[in-house]
Amino acid sequence: MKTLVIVPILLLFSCPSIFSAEKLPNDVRKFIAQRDACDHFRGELPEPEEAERMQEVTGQIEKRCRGTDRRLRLLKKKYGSNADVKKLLSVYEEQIEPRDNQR
Amino acid sequence: MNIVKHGIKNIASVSAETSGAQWVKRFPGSRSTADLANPFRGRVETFIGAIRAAGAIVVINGTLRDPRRAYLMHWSWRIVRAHVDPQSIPSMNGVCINWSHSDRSGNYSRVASIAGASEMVKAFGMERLGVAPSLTSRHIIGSAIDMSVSWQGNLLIVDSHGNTVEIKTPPWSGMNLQLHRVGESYGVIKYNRRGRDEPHWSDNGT
Repeated sequence: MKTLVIVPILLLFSCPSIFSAEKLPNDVRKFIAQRDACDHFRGELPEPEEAERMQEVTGQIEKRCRGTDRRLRLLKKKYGSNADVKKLLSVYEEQIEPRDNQR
Repeated sequence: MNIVKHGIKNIASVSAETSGAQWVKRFPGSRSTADLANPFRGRVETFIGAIRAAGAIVVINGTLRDPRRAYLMHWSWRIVRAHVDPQSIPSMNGVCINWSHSDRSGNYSRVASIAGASEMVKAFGMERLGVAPSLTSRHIIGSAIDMSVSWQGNLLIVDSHGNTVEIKTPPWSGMNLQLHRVGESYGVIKYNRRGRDEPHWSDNGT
């Protein structure tokens, strides 16, 4: 019985990220999900002769990455005084799109 | 950017070879599970062994990727598409490339430098790519594998606990959810973030 009480309490203190993720503003949470997927596919570019895979990956990149530079800038501005959000956003590259292509 | 992690230093190269298409084939990716990092390697090999023992076909398309290839892709793209100054590109250990070309008089030539990077962008197949390739990935640290899996009919496969799992429902491929659960039991996690990445499995689902 004692264990049943202690374990959840220990989990509460040992996994703060689980709880802080729930508190994240919606726009930040959505951005992180999109940008993480974008960053995944940016690392998946195959050898040039793998045409089909290249098409799959570039299609996902186009879908997931476009506009994220601008969104990152706006979120950093919006949550400039929120240290937790600032820290989470600081891990992302600020410019992955060509400057003349940003929306 | 995570450039320091991969040993990139800001050292100007003197006798380095100039950029161009010849660089593109130099650091090919591996298709061997032996190149994966442990303990992921052992988990993948056991999982693939179980899939093959069940009668399914596994074709490995990629395992470890070279960070030097990512470096070449990233910076050639940045020079051409993001207009980064070829003279300001950080160097990387093990890549003796000079992004900065000279003209016949020995003076820096921006046009020739961009042309060299453009050759690489084209040879890498990135002409239509709208964002910079990443310098990092699970493949670069040996913690991901791209493989296609296929079978016909029901599949009887043993998970890591020794339980036999019967997969009776489609798809008959690596996108099968029951196969994902079996993979998880071995510590091989199907890509589980946004978007569809059919061949990709890793140590953490990314």
